[in-house]
Amino acid sequence: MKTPFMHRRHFLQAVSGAALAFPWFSGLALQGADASKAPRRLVCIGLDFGVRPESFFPTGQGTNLELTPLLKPLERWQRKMTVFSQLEHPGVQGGHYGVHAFLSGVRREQASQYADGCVTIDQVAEEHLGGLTRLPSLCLGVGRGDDISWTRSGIAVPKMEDPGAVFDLLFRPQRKSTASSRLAELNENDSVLSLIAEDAKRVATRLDRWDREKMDEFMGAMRDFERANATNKTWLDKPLPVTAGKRPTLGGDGCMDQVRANFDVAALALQADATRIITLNIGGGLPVTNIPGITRGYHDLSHSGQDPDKLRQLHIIESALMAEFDRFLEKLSTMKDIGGTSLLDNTTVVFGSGMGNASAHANTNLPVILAGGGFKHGRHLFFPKNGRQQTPLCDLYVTLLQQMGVERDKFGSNKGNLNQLLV
Amino acid sequence: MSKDQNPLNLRAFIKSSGIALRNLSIPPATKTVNMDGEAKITITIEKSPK
Repeated sequence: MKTPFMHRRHFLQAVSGAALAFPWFSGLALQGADASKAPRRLVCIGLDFGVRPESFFPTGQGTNLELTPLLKPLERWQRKMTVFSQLEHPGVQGGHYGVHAFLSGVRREQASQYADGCVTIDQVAEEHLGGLTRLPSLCLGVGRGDDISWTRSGIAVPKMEDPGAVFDLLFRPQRKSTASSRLAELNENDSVLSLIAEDAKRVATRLDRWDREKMDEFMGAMRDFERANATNKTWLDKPLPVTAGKRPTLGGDGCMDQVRANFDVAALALQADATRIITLNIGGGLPVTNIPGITRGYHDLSHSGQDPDKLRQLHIIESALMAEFDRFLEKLSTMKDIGGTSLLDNTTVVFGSGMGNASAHANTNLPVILAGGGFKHGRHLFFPKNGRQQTPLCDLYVTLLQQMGVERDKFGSNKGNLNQLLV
Repeated sequence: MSKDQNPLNLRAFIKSSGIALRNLSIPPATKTVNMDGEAKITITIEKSPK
């Protein structure tokens, strides 16, 4: 059987005109931005299995929030973070199969119903800011989990799962080839991309709907390639950033040390301004049985039901994850930024999951924490249901994008924004 | 008249950029270089099964 080839709606738009109009980083036009002003950064952390709702969501509302056992490790950040309840992605269901929509509000299978497909918030921010740093964005993963970052072409951004290799990529020369041979390689890439774009115009007239969609995805990947190539050229002759930080090493409990190493390299990347946009997926494949007291796998424990022993073990894991998140926030708060501010003051940090209740495979009432400067914090924001209508998590994402300087009022399934509550 | 015609390994080309290949349908393609040294890439469409 022949492999079905080709998907999606922007293809004809993409191939019309004399050449493919590859979208450019808006950031390249912002190169002359005020250097005395600290840039905004975005870090999004997603947990495949979420957290046990009963242990997470505070009972009080507004500033009267009472920290639950899982939020206790974050107590010192209470004035610098906001906890949200009852936000969700309307129409996103499927338990584990809905988790990858955490940062987009759109499952990949639903992408064709949305103008921007299933693009995630980090990739939209990258389109705006990516050209300003050596790496437009950084996608990290630990525990072989779901894809957390998606391009508007419907392609998952590959996760880097080795923090040591990420450190090397950021701070150590990668190739022995000379700059001129590397430039020749990048120019050859441009040449091939240009020839592909040329023939794509011919092919476009011969496609049925299904093939057009497949072809559109393929051409989206080509646009991503061209953007990456352009960024590589821009940074080719610029020295690598310097860090005083150490290459992350493992050697702790064989589980949370992996999470910590990812947080550490993320903080170093932000500090060196090697990138301003980072996603980190904490997957279900975390080797949790390496933690003392844990005898079952993470997935098994996430289906805790009311089993006291499973609940006890799950609490150990989730508390440890919260402790690592606390440590990450501390790291950002101690790293100095422009104008006497800290990195945390200028970084938007989202911590949460596309899974509301793993035990029930529910994608509703998603756990979300927003931390970092630039927002009115210190509260538990509860969004009651209005009939069957729920406040979309994408309302929050629109506010976050606007704070990053991205001028848009639509994202995913949003109906509005949360500016009045947060800005 | 073509001087040289070879299959183009688009999969390897895309992979070199770091773009994820999973979920991506990649069409077969051929690269042709004519007598004047001009290159051309031809994408092949394979019809989807009905």
